Amino acid sequence: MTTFLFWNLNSKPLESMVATLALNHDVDILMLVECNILPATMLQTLNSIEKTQYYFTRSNCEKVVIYTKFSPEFLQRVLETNRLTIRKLSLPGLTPILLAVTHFQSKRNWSAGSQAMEVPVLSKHILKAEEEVQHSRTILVGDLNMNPFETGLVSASGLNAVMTREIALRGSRTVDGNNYPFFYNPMWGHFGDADENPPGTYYYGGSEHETFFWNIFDQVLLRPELVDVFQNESLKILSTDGANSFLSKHGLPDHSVASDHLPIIFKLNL
Amino acid sequence: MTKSLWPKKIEFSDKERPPVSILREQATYLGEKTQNLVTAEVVPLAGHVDNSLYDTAQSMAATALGSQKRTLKKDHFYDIFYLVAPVLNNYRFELFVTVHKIDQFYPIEIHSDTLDISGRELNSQDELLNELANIFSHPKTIKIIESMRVQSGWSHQEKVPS
Repeated sequence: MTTFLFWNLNSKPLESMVATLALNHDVDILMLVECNILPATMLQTLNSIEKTQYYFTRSNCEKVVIYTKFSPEFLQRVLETNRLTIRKLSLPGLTPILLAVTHFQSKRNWSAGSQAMEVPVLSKHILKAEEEVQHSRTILVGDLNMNPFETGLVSASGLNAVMTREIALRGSRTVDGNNYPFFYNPMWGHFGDADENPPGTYYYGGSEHETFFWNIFDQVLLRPELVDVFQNESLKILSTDGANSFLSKHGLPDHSVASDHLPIIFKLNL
Repeated sequence: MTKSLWPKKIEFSDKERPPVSILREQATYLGEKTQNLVTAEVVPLAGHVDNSLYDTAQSMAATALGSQKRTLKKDHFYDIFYLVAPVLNNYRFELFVTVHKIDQFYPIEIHSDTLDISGRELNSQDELLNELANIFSHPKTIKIIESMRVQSGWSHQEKVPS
């Protein structure tokens, strides 16, 4: 099993918590955004833990940082922008995949309409990378700054991300004569308080009419080709690193202790 | 049988060429400068966006107290300008995106998250050429190209063939 962890650090010095998470969950690929921790600092912290050896991977993408437990040669860059890095993950003996990691434009700076209109560009980058590697075994991970139900996620020329495996496994759909491949979005199943897990990854209690309070901005999406190697039960929104809670006494992300986002973790059986 | 009703000459004036042809020409020049270790590619977004997305997003934008940020528009051409490293399995880096109306070349907008350019509007070919010159000579652009060139195996000791 290959374990992936993604966290928006809110520019906080959380290297110890990141390292604790990495150890406790045996993380293979660590993806961080809003990370101002110097690579040297992060590597020293990660690799001070016994029996672990993480590598920093170089990138022209300023917004995303990736550390891996294996040599960076197995995670080659395919396409990047300032906010997106798409890597070819080719571990020996395992099925190669494309790993796309992004920190999308935030609602603080962009309207919801602008976000929705930008997603097709993101989608095009992914399609271009898939064309280059000649397969569509792609996962997209990141802080999308949009909920799973928002236009940019669900529209055909956006990410075309659907809530069930069954629909995703149809492969694609046609709109206005154009064919659009699906993503499967397992994050839909993590809304609300039906279980003991956090109801979302980001909390915003605004005063306007339409306020969701809990949002799931931090997401993982999978192409249909990878649905069968993904276990829904492996996907979790984490509220603790095992030693420290990321939540306040009110159950909300505690900015004073950790980040304003909660991390997500998942596994793939490649 | 009817006769052709198309005008005898459909041609572009040298004074106003399609922006995409200018971008592709500049892309070629980069390869010549870097011994093809770093090239560039212009990729259109045309045909990729379904019209319902425009309608929904425009309606959202109309009610939002948003800023003048980049929005995709119906009946516009969008082109992504990538830097490409062929030796690195065609690694691509988006440098900027341009957009203009289908029925006119100018004004054209340029957007670059890397260079912090948000919807800069250019009203003529001369303005476009000036802006491209600025983008190509930007320290970040040069740094990225150098990085791609070095990783492609370029060494400053290698002599350029005469």
